Amino acid sequence: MKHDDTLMSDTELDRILSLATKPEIPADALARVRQAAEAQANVVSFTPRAARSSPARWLAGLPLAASLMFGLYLGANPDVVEVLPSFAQNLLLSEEDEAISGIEDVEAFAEEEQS
Amino acid sequence: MQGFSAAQGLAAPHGASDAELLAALARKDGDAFSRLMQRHYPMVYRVAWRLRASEAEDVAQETFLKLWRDPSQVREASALRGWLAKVAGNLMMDRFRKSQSVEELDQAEAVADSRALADDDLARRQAGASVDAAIAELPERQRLALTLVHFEQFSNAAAADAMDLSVDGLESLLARARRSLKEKLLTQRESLFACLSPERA
Repeated sequence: MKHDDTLMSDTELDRILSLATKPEIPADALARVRQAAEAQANVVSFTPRAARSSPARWLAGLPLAASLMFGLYLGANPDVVEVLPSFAQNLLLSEEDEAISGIEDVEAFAEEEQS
Repeated sequence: MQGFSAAQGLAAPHGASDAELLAALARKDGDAFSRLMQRHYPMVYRVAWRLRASEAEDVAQETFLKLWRDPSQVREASALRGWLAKVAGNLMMDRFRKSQSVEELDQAEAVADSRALADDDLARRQAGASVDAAIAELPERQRLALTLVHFEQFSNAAAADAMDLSVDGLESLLARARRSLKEKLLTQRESLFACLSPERA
């Protein structure tokens, strides 16, 4: 068969391409994929819980927020104690810290706390 | 998961169709996965190898793990082969983009390996290495098109689908690839044909 030195036909190219290397599958390649798949199958995927924003959750937070705001208000305005009912005033006054001076007072305070 | 049997004694019927095996795979049937791998892994490996030999096994593995994780991505069993080729091709293209490195040809390695071979085998191996090198110099997309159609016998339509191309686009890639190869291999034509005996002209 006479070849044209300046051209290559499709048939000739196809025959030449048949010389291309046919890669061999590495030994144990399939076993390695199986191992990797098994490893993945044993992993329990973590799915984050979807954030819930129901009205009940907001309502539950309201008393906490109100309490915080009231506490801040009382802290900023000590005179407001005057307008509280007397039992509330007594309660607040009874919880006021007493000044401790001297070791005897410390011992007395500690005994009181233990009892 | 129903687990993996030993490779030889698979539970999935030997003649089970891809559709049956995919249905079983959806239930995490390891035997069905093994059977599908036995059937399609060589093609996936060869496609990846032709694009970049050194990463062929990694890409083939990643391709099958994608199938294992979510077989529902394959819409029709008849499209499985094309889907696998597409995933392998895309994974390799991603790696090309990331590495941007010069193509490493396995030509040198192949020639080095062949030193111990007999003369006939040596000539054949060297001819193969020359053809491999010429193919490796093609742009990646042309190489993938050529691999699917010429080496893996995909139809033009199936290869176009696997490459997200129109059939015209694929045929254009193929035509350019073949033209480049003819130019590259023209000077070696006689020596290459010499390796094709006894059918050589």
